[in-house]
Amino acid sequence: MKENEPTKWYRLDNAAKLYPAIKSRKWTAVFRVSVKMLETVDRDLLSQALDATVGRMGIFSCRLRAGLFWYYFEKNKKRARVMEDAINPCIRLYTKESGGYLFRVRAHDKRISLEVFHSVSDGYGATTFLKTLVAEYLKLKGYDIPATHGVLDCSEPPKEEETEDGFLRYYNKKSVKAWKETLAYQIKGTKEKGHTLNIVNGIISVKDIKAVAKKYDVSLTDFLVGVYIQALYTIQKNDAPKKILPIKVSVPVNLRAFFDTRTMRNFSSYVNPEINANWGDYTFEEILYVVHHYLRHTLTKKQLTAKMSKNVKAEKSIFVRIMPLFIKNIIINAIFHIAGESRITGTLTNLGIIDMPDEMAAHIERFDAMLGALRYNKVSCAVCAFGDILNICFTSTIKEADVEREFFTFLVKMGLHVKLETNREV
Amino acid sequence: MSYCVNCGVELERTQKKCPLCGVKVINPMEKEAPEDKKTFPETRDELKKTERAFWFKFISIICVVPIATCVLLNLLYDSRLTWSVFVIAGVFMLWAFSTSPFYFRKFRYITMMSVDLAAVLTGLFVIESMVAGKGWFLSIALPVAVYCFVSLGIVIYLTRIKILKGLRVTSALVLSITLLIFMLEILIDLYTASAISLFWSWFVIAPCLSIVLLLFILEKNQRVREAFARRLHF
Repeated sequence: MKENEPTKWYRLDNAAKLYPAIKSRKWTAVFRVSVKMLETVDRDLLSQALDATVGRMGIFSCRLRAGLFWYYFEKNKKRARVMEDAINPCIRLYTKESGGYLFRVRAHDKRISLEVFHSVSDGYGATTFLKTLVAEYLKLKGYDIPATHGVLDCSEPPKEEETEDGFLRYYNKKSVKAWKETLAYQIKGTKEKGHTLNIVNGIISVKDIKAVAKKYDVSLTDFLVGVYIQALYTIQKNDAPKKILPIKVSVPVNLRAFFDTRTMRNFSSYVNPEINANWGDYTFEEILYVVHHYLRHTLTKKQLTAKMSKNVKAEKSIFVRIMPLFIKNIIINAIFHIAGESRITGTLTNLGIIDMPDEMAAHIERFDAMLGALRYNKVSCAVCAFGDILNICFTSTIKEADVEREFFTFLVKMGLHVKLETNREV
Repeated sequence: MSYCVNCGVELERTQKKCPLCGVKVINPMEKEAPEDKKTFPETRDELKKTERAFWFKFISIICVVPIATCVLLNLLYDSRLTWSVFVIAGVFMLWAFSTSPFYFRKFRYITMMSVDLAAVLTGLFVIESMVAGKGWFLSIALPVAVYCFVSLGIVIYLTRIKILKGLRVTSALVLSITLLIFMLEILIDLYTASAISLFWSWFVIAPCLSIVLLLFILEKNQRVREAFARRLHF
């Protein structure tokens, strides 16, 4: 970049605006994707690869600044560095430590991990970043990796369309949101001290679990959400609260599947399939039926447009815009406290099957996704698949492993082979 | 390869207990402890501590400024400390109020209130000794301050253990104010005339007691309470 060129800056997109406002001293919304290579990672090479990748990644090469009315991203001129992994990943990002970057790249043994502040991008953007980083790393190791299957070519400059705000492009000025979310059942448990994040990783064969899902005539996501709701339902029954609230699982949706864009920024929404035990007992088949049809019903272009339009319109309102940032933060915080995570019991995000050029896949064992601690919800789940390995990662901030136990033993009872990895010290 | 006998899941070789149910993993075929690498490193990320020390120092320095200025001016014109002692006492109380939350690692309302009480008493004592005291510190200030501290402490405690709820918290507070007024007149009478004759405190006590009574009735009567809620909800 030339010396006298003005610093490039970006407005935050609609989804990104939420996170800086609700972050606290102890907590930022961080999620992580990691890749496990077949060989031990060379940190010096990875560091070089990171230098090459960051310049290409557009929005990832920014730092967060506060303006008078909104936060904004500004091009960061510092160098990003590779950090050591920890037993409790995804703790809040310290910009001082990361040189202002809103992500962390970590290396441990054979694993390369990328932890991202959710304001910058969603799972899709983070996966693209990680894929490009690994491709660059393998190139430095002397392999020839083509820029296909979502791997970006780092010899090119970043493209304008990759930093586009998809929400602004596709929102509908007329559509109005049709329904309100109700309060949801919350998992109880003993809070872990400090910033412990309990991880239980379940590894299952994609082929086997797809065969089981097929028996019920549902997709893999339907099936996993169904099992998750079933697990939460069992816990609610054992817990027997006085007032029975519905069990709702938030399922993030990649909007790129519905709207044409090449953006690397946040462009996802969510739907919350739910069961309400006040209406009677549910069998597993009934839960699957509800989930399957709920997802088909809500995952339409019209409903998703309506959902994002409501948020974009709120952001576009002149009253919101002229409000100074610190007042906005207080209000967004209050809204999040009332209408945010209290409306869901847990989250299950499915990044799907990670696609990669064959030349790259030959060096990779598997792909992991992980959600950092949420602000109020205690247990969340992230799923992704690579080759025949499905990785289901539960992260929790409580001592009890009830959700994980119910979930995985349910799969074991269905005849599936589950291998666990954990950082829990039991 | 080890399995949990209870859950049926396969576990890592380094795992000694099942992470799901806590059952011990015993593999009779593997006599020696396996030396596999762990999935997650042992190192732990810690968040930086709150900058308590910074805020403590920051507030302290800010408090030093008015004290220094006043002492300097006082010395310059009177060549001894006279009126600046009042400023010192006042700023000292303010300093104690504002720094105590940063001084203690854990926020306990009882510690905070004790510190505040001590600060108020010290400040008042200094002021009394400056104005060639007539004993008002011992006979009025001390009992009133201690009473406020104790009664507020009791209300907070009862609210926290959920004996006092809703409107009863307000009535308890009003009741303690009533008692304070009552006590105040007795103390002042004793200090000035050495004979107790209750007069003006009735004008405060009567409305206060009726408020307490009203709140008590409201608390008991659900229909009235709902009628209020219906008309005043927003």
